[in-house]
Amino acid sequence: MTVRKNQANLTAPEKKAFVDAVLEVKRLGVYDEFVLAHRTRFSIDMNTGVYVGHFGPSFLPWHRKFLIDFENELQKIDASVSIPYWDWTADNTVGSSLWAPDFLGGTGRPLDDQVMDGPFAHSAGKWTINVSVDSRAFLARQLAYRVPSLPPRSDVDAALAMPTYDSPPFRDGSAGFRSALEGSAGYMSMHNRVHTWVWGHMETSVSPNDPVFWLHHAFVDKLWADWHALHPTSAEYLPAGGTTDVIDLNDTMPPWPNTTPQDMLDHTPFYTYA
Amino acid sequence: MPRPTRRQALGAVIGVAASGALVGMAAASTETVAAEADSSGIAPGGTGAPGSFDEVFEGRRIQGTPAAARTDAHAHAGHAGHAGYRVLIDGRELPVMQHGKSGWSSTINHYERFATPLEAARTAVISLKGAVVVPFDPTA
Ligand SMILES: [Cu+2]
Ligand SMILES: [Cu+2]
Repeated sequence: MTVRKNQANLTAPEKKAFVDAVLEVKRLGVYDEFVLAHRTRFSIDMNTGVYVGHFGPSFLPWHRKFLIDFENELQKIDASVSIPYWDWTADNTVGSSLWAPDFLGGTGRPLDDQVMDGPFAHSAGKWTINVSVDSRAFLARQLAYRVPSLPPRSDVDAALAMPTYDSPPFRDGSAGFRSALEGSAGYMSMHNRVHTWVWGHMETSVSPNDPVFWLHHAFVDKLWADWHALHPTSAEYLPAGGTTDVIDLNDTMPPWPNTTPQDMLDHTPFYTYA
Repeated sequence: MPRPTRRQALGAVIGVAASGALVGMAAASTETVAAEADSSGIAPGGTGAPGSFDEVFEGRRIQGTPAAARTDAHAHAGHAGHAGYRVLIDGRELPVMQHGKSGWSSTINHYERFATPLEAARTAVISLKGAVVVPFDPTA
């Protein structure tokens, strides 16, 4: 049974096992397929106006499936590995152990935002950016550069208190939990703000190039589960059906041929959170 | 990860074809060219529709142009996501998108919202620190 843990509680061997599995998935070329899928989803969404991966209600089930697929790849390398989650309301400084050389490495150098330490530094030889939207071949970060702070717990609690999952027009900025959590309801807030706070690749449509992407989205996913537990009588997902150009509860979410939001409502067959 | 189906990819293919004609226009000159609209990138008249711009920002030439009207085959009425605006940085396209009233974003700054494509272009320049945008197959 897969248990996703708070990254702050991982032992040194657990951190090493996760990093080693990520590096092996990268070496096999599989990691870049995930980066490509993310870039493609963004691109198709922006060109069709049907927001599947982001900016719409399926943001949460789409990323839940995306993480399940990635976690499966990690577990082909090491069955003991799961995706840790990063509670950015608690571990909210550049000095967090998350950014230490034995885990994800630290912030980038000022010259070009290049990450210079840890297993994902380009100079370590195992992390070249292959799928991108710009010419940077190295992982780029500049923590707390664009926005000085990560979202406070009070923002998370305010989102969790909302009784409605999402509401018309089911877009960027529509009222409800999904939009509040995604961060499109305010200026650089919540999930979006975390991407921007990390900067570099996390700010781009190829954000999975930074392994912190998975830890960030595991926490976002946990918050969806937490929200449901707080509102057991609320619809876990909306819209239920009949909505043009929006992924309804039983619509398939591309690129998967037969995965619907309904299929993603219960995460417990796949993993639990500790 | 499964690849997108042909049908899902179709809209993106058409979007790229519509932009192709603009890609070559930047190479002519590297000097600052007067913007066709005011420097905010918003067309006069207060409609909120962004006008053109063409300037050098932190050493990079950035240009923005409302794209020509789309073909009927691509005209999904009511979609805010493909407003048909093209941005170039040193002659290479920076894909941008409009999120209804909440503003614009780009592939380089995908999690922010900007009031205008000009602001999106300038922020991309700041983000890139000398790196260049690289075209990609949006359906790959
Ligand atoms: Cu995403
Ligand atoms: Cu994200």
